[in-house]
Amino acid sequence: MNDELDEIQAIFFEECTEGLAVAEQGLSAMAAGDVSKEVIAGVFRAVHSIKGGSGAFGHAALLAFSHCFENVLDEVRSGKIPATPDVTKVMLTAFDILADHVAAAQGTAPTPADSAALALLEEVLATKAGAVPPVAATAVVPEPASDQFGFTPVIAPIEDFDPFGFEPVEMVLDDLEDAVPLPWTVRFGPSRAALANGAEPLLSVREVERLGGAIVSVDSSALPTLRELDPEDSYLVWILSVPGTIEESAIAECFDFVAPDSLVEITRDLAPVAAIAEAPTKVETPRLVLVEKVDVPVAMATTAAPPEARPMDAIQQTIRVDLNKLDMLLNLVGELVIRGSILSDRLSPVDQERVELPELARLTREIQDNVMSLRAQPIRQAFSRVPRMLRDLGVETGKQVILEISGETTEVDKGVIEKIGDPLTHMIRNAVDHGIESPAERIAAGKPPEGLITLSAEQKGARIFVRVSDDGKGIDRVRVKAKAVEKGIIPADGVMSDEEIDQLICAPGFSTAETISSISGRGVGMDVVRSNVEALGGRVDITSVPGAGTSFTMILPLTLAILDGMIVRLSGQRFVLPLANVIETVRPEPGQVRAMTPSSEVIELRGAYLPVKRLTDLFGFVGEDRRSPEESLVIIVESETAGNVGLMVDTIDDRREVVIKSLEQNLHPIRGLGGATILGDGSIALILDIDALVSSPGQMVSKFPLKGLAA
Amino acid sequence: MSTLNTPDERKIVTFSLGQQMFGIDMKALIEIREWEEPTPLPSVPAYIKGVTNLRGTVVPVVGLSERLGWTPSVLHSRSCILVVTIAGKQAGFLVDEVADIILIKASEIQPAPEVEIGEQNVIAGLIQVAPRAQEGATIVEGADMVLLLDLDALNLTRHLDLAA
Repeated sequence: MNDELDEIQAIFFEECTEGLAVAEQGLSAMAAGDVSKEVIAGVFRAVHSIKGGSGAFGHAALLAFSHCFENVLDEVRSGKIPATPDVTKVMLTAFDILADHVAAAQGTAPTPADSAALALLEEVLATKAGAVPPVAATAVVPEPASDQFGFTPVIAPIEDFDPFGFEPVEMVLDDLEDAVPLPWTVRFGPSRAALANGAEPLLSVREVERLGGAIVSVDSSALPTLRELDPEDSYLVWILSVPGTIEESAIAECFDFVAPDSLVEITRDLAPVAAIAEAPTKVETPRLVLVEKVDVPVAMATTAAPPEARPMDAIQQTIRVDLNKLDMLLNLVGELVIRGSILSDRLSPVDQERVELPELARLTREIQDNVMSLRAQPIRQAFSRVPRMLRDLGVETGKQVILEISGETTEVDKGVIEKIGDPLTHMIRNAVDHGIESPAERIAAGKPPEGLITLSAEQKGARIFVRVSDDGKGIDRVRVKAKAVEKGIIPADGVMSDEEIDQLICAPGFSTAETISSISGRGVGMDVVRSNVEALGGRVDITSVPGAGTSFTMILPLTLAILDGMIVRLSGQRFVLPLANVIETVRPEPGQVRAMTPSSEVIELRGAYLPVKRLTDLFGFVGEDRRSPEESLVIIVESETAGNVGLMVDTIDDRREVVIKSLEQNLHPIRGLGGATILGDGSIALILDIDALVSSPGQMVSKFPLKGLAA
Repeated sequence: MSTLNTPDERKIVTFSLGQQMFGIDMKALIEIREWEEPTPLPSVPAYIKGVTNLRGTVVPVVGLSERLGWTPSVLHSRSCILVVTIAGKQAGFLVDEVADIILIKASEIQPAPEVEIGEQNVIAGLIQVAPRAQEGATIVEGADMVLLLDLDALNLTRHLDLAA
């Protein structure tokens, strides 16, 4: 297989993935009761295009299955099979198999056993829609070849019709194949005079072809015997078929330049299908050549094959762009913004006021916003597969789970969305398998029989928090620790805090499941979660309350987001403090900040004492001028882990939106920093990660205390 | 030692650090910039001077002299930063002065003798070059030795990987 084909194939699989996502969304909507035409048509289109591509690339198993699935969908779409919950259920099952088939075609999974699902689909077809031709026979026919109408010529005497009249045609508007007007039949016989004038009849024929018409036959009945043949006369009459969507006048225009005594008849076909038998026998070479050329446009208009609603396609037009190109664009635009403000700084105040500069700044900012939005996608994409997963898990485990999703519109960088899919899967499986109890256990524990899993996403400062919480039994710390000792992950006499024990769940090779189920228990799951999240420069937090549930939080960087930040100055260096963390700013009065120990201070605020930290101390920077608290500002920040904490800074410079640049792109993540940004003058300011900063005691310690232990 | 594998001629950018001449493969060089004080970073080794803005990308700046175990460079008017790409990541190296671009044959590179420095050898090889007078630069007597650096060994994230 050559590279080019591989490339096209890769695009096909990309489209499959998208198609599957669309189909799943649609089916989920149908399962939820929305059986509107648009939803069903959406699912149909998705499956249809998967089928089309699979045929083109020779994935026979995928093609056969998707074909069958499509048949059912087609019937549902046209209302011949009612979209009852049962039918939807069958289609959901079929969808799963379809996804497996796609994976198999990609070579990432074995070919699924689809006979059961096929049988279900066949049954739906048979029972709800009456007799349907067997699928197997047609399954291997590639898409464009199916052609129900054919190019069916009718040699209709002109007197039979009103040449300009439109035959009344009964149309079903929601079904495009029926809605296509009947094709035109054009009879064209150039006169002797036409030939004598040097008119080339083929030119006129080509014009018709350009409209989408095709020669269907040549009437050579007027052809005399060779002896009587006048080589300068014209005997042939071409019969052409033109799609019914073309205006009659447009066809007539094609023959504007033929001599007036030539035969030109334009008629609309009546009952074209019935006319197949009349297809002229004397079809010679010209037909073959010409028909081939116009195959595509004619097929589009007259065959029943791709009955997709074209206008819909036009609305949802998308273009595939290499992510690297987007990144490059984003960088360049960022640079443009910065250069713009440098320029503005250099101009005199009078020049700055002129209308061009603000206009330029506004335009640049708009470009930047647009480019940003190209990369950011709602996290819904990553969440969309969860409902289906829970359905499957529910069947496998017998546990009933209600899912609550919030924050699915949170916009996250596409790269992040792609990479959290796997961790999310493992977290959900873990929650169902280990967290949620069986209905009986739940009732015994005084809980409702259905478990509740909450999936949420929110942006906090420079980080995205994706949380999976369950209301299950919580982490059994005694058992986890015993298991870890047994597996040699920790020494038997190790003293560990609850949090440390919770973190053990993420150690490689760890699993408390007694039996290896298909869901979890192989001891790879949570390890994968941690390593994937760490690879993204994030971390996993686990909180668990015995009997009340566990919640796993992926804290991920938001590499390309804009951050609303406060620019503070400290020993001459500027830092960005995420505004989301800031509660208030205090200019301490003498005596308001007191030392608690030689190395720690507290601030008294409305009667409460809050810890105060000096950023210079946290970072281990040697400050040239250590200001007294009275000369400093204390910014009270809110943190997840340590509550409210005061941060002592020298001054506040500005409040603005900054573009987050990752440090790990060229270096590595640094604890306490959420990234860096480039300020208006081209210099860099570091973005503070408040949670990591205040939660670590004093100096920065190694990033993950358990890492060495787990390795 | 992938840098040694390319046959025939290679372009080497030479520069000085203290009294020593060093060279890096021209292919890795992105640009040479004037020295500009970088933004210092917390919790990093002392040889990482901080980060600077390279056309919208945040690039770490390394005091190459310290990184190689020599005394830190003293900044002067000809101090500059060589921006290089190592394994897809960009880094700026502070050097005292850029000297020349020389064309050498692979055969002219002598392997560096084994020395005990407690970590992977960052010197990929030694090259002998004829002295060449530079405008305004100090003229070094006799044949000069250029220490060809193995950039992969200078990878900044490498330390992290080894430490983990």
